[in-house]
Amino acid sequence: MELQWPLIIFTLCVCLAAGTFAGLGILTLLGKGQKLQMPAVVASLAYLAVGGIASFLHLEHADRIFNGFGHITSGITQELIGIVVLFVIAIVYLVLSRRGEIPKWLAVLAVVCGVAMVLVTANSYMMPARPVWSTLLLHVFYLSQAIAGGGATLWLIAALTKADDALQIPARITAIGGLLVVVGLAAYAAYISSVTLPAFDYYFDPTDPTKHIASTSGFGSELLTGSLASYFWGALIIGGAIAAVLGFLKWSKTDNSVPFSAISLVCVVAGGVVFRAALYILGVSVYAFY
Amino acid sequence: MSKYAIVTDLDRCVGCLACSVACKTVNTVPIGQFWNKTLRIGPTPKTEGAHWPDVELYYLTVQCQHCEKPQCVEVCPTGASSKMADGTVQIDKKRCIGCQFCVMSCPYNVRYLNEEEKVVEKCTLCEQLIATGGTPQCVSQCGGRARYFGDLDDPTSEAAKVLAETDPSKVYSLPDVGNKPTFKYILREMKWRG
Repeated sequence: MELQWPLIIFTLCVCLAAGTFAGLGILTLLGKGQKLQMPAVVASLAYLAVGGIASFLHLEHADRIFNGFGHITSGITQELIGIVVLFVIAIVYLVLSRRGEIPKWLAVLAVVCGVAMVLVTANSYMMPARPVWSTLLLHVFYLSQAIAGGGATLWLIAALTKADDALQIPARITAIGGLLVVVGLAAYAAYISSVTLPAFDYYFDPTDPTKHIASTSGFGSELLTGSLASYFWGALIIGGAIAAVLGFLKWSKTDNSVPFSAISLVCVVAGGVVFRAALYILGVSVYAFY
Repeated sequence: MSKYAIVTDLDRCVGCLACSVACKTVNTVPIGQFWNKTLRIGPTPKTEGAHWPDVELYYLTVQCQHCEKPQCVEVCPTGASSKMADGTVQIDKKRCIGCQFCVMSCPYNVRYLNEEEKVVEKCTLCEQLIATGGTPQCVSQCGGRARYFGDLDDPTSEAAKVLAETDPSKVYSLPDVGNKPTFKYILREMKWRG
């Protein structure tokens, strides 16, 4: 199907916002990074705002957003609920961080809500009608992206705010997240290689006589060695491996954190964009002939 | 609750496209879009390795299947897409926000965004006609008399009667990914290709 840029940006931003906020919760639980609490919450809210604007741009009739909105089985409704919950908790976090004391329960809530938000977003796209999307590996991909992207964001903020006590943990989170991206994408590619759709030997649509016969197999080879190879390997190497290597290089060191963390974040974002684009291109419906 | 559906006897379909054309006319379907398409399936060798003239083909009409468990209804955030009491799936255009998640969730690709109205559309089973006791235009205009409309839960309906008279092994549906398509296809002489 066609690339849906607003949704690509939205899901990426949700992963980054939730990952940043959950990572901040972990730092708080470990008693580190008090200096970066406020900028980290602001960064998380900024990601949410960009994602929210992008998702509104996707709607053809955003003016009707409250016209019956709230059908609970809808992934969009669940995402909106998740965003509101995350936003409220983030605001409470922001207020309490100004007082200098974040209760442990709030930090735990940040981690739980961050993870839940990512899973809810992934769940919205898990549609049986689109077999390439209909796998829990989509959740794994989104989670790994949240861990790597959230870690890199916190790492960069820690470096910029000179929160020295909070440099190593985000670097390690980035390293682990990057590794998970690599493993998750490899598993996803294996799954995509196994997808085959119902097919006719030959068919013809009289209303669209020059249209190509729909692809119903070979998605794996298209992803690994075909027209989408640069998307997949780019996401795996740049968005996963390089971020992981940079994180591991700074596992127990704190020098040059600004360039390392900034490059990691750019890599995770770039990888997230291109693999999402590949998923849209491969995300044909189970009956692809109409 | 009723279960309005169309049963198509593919052995009778001649591929005249009258159903597609009639549908576009009566429902003012935009240029380039269709609520009902007729695909030619084949020609396919009757047996493996066979050559012409030992080939077969049939025509397959594809449209919204007015599923029993429509995914499009499940994913709609505003309730614009809903399952009606007569079993059809309808879109309340005034409530549609154009998110197109229903388009993504449809296994048959039969929904599209109306670029002028900025809302999603698809086959309504000619609700304006069936509400007054009529039949969908694609059924009444069928040149081969291949289509039967009615309530599948009502044994006296045309659609239920033709199904009852047909060998169940010759009755098919489009691929089901949990959505339970309501429409049925009859193909007696040839191999169903999916």
